[in-house]
Amino acid sequence: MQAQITTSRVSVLVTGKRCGELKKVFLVVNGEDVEDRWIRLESAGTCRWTADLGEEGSISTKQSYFSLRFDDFARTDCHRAAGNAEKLVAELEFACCADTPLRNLRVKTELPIPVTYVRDVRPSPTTRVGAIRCTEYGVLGAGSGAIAHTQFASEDVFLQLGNAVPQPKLPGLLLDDIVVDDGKLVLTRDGLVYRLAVQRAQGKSRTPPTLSSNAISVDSKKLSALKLERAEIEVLK
Amino acid sequence: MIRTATILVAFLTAATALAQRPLFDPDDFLDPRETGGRPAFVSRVIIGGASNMSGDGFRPLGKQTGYVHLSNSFYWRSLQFDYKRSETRAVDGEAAQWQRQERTPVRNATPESKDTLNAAWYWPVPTGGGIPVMLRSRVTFTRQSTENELLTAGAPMQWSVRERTVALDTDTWFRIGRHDVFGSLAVSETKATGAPNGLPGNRKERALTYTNRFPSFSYDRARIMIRPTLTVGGISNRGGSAVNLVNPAIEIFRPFIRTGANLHVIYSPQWAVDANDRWQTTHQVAVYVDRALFVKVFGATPAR
Repeated sequence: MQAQITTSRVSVLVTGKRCGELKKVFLVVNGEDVEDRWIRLESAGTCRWTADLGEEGSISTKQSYFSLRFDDFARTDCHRAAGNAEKLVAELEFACCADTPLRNLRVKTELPIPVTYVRDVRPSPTTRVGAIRCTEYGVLGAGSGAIAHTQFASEDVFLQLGNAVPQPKLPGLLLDDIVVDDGKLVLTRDGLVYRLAVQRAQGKSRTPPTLSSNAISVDSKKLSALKLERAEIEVLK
Repeated sequence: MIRTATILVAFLTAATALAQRPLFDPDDFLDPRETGGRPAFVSRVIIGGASNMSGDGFRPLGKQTGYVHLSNSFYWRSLQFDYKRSETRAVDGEAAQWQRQERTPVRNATPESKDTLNAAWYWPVPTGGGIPVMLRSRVTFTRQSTENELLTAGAPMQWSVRERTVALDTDTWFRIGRHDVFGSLAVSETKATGAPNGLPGNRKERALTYTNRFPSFSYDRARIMIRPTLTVGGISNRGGSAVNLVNPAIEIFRPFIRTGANLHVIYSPQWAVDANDRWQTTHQVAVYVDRALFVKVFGATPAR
């Protein structure tokens, strides 16, 4: 029996050939992607996992959305839960696992400035039910931090330079395009302004393709005010 | 100065561009999310030259044209207001020349400064849970006068024509599969008045155009971007079918971040039907440099 409920109990079914291999499964709730906010799930049998979010973690199946992080090899798309009113549990089903490269990224800025990120996650084409497009977001420590479990095939990851609080509706520097697997990408302030301009011109900034001179000037002004000298983006694995 | 009387086939071709921005008017799209909706002001100067330019919605000035353009843009929340002033002159300092037919008098038309006011608003389009797409709609009002002179055997006749254009353009967006398709839809009306009876210059014309804005290419070693666009449209009082304008363009853009200057090289051939139901071609080429004179984002306190 499905209904819209508010509960702190979550039951997760993971499908797919590799579901039996999973050792650690983490739940991301409502897009809060900071690693210490991930909720580690407890095994409840083969391919089944549960969690009790506690009173403070109570969620509404109508509004909340979820995604999973699997060990060190995959992430999932986002889903809404089906409410089981009888058991008072939010039930979720995810497919494991997209066979695309997974990267953990490290971002460092000089001088240290606040950096946030937003992930625009698309539903997986292999998902049978319940997948939705969603945004997830996180805050990096001042000047340095990591973005874990990125799979560019299914998400756009935007870096927001100079923002202390993530803005889920604001794009930024699209990382999918620019990270290099072998080594570290170093972008000077001018390089960042140029890269932002290129992404706008390519229509990757959630705006029509534009060669806006004013946008370039404002970017340049903003990064100068932040005294940002350079940003490093490194693939950790 | 006075060469063989130029038959400006672009009399009509020029007007085809009424619904478009002048070639030398650089993009000024500024996503309000970037400034957090804070007020921002950018003043910019543009200097350049063009060949066969008809993109200012005015009579061409001849083969070679120079121009100076000053643009002032004020952004606040989801709104944008602009005041722009343009000076366009033929390289040899002469006015445009017209001769409708052989053995008719030559007409010189010297444009004065063009003033443009824009009001625009940005509006987000939901993407079903993802980051919204930000589009812009804009109303444009332009005004320009022309001093005309008819070279006849006797004393030359002189008169002024006032031209006003009102245009509305809006960005469009839809998806085909995983691909975004962006464009701009524009409607405009231009009215030129003031010419005495029997003398040329008065006209009224409406245009409806769609410009597809393809994603740009970049060549990072040289730090250049290449942007293709394609405009098609229909203009009233013309021959041909509903579509009597085809205007592709390719723009090579090189920002010089350190100096704040940007170089633009544009090639924009324009095919349009004239009043005699014939397709005419104009090969427009423009080169210009723009540079911000003043940039201010008010209330921007960088978070540290």
